[in-house]
Amino acid sequence: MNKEQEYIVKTLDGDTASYRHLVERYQTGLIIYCEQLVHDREEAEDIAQETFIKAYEKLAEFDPEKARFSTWLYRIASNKAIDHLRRSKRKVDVSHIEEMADVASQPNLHEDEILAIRTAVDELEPPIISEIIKAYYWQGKSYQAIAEEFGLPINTVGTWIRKGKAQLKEVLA
Amino acid sequence: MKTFNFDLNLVQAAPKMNTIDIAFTDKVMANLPNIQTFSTHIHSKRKQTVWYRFRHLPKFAVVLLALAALFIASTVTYAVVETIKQANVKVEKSGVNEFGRKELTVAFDSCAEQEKNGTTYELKKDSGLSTEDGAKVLQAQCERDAISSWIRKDPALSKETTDPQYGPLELNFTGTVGKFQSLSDEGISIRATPAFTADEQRGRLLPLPKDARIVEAGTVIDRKDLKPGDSLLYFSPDRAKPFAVDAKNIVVFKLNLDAKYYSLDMQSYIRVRKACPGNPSRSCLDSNHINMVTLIVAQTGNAGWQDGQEGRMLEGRVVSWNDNEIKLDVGKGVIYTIQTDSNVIDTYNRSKVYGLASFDNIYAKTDPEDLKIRVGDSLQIGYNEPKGQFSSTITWKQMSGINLMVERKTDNIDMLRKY
Repeated sequence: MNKEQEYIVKTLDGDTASYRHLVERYQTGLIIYCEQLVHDREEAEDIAQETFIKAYEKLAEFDPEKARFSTWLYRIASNKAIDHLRRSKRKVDVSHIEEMADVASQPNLHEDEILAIRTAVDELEPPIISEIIKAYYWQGKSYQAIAEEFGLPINTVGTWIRKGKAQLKEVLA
Repeated sequence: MKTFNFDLNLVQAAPKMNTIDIAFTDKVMANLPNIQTFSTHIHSKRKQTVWYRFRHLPKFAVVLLALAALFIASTVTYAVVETIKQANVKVEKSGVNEFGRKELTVAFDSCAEQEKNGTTYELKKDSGLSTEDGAKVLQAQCERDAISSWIRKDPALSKETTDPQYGPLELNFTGTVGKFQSLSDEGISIRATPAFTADEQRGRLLPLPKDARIVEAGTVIDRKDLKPGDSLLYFSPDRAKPFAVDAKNIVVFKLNLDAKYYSLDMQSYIRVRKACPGNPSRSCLDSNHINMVTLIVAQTGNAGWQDGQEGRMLEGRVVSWNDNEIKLDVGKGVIYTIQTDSNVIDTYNRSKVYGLASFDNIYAKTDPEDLKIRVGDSLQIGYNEPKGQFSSTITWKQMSGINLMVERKTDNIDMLRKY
């Protein structure tokens, strides 16, 4: 039994604190995933929160034989996002969202790829771009939180993230 | 979809020792429904007070424990405070190097980087820094490192967790640096020196609760001792809302040097120059270059891994070129000859330099004419050579690639210029 399965069993056994480890593990990716679906950070955080709560409520129904926990979690998030988009009557093509959930939850990076990404992020120039990329992708901070922390206008945060990604794509291509 | 995968790959590459948004986690955990049907086990929710935990001990033993805890706490506090030392960096040697850059060799005192004594640093061309400024930037780095390590030792500030799978949560130390302006009931006003904003003159009002500590060289001082113009580093351990009115455990560090030396952009102006990889007698910028990008002039694909061969790098300024060779001045009067199978520099100047669109248009504002290679420009050369052999003539078969050294402009990183 790996650590994740252990946390799930412990949670099912009434140890709510174990669920915290699962939330910590997946929250950053899940929020960014939801943000990409609904294009709004606050709404994304709400959906991610609802997803974790729903997953907690339904944890007894989770079958590790059928799917990984991450895949199951991202599917719940996809359904929540679709509901949300339909409720808000936004004209968004939701047909690909479930497929995205499967792609998003696959831990498909090898150790050397992970190391290459970390090195590339560390070497972004100027260093503030590296800090901002880490804050957004690794610490799960919103543009607003990053803007406050670094004393930057929120639009500048977006610009730095775009530039950081462009540099990373160039280096990692 | 592709962009999306790229984003998620980035998330997946997060180091395990990394901070997360604890406020979000807390919010989720606080909103979990109280479900007791998971299991037949019903867990007692009785709150365990300190007294409750030690209920089986006689009262005098509890008092002794409390006194011991107090002693340990005060010792730990003293030890933590003691870790911030007055870093000092002295310029031992300075001048202009063979590449036309200001450089300095320094001696560190009371600095975690002390093992780098004797290291040579190069200053960015348009940084406007003197070598003395360069030493101050290095001293500021030492101070930031010392403060960062001080913070990590305080559990209230670093908020470490002990999760066995994901490891301790590491504090990503940044903080706001600026000059002290004034104190008021609302907080502390700092004229911040953020790297890339224009509000330096406006100042920022940051909350300063009553329990906030003002620390100078490891000692807590009274906030009234602050004087206008003092350099400060404002640190909030709250990663989600660092400047919230109800923020806790704020620490303001009084710094030794002018605030400008602590900014991230200032610290990007100085980099190590050392022996080139595989080429100990030649000088190269450390891989973490000064806002450096490289433009590929030629890639041969000739020099892969071969038994008995060593990979080498070289950095030098263009003396001349033709269809058969490039002459490079690598410093100290040494000229290298790079034999080529065609006029690679003319080819680059005619065509490749215009291929900047491949940079995702982020450098679109740069005029390609400004990136054409001319005499005096700096090139990086990668090549293979038999172990133990060091020749100043490199054949095309030995070559792996030629790059033009380019940097982003200090005042506009959308613009490139030759290094």
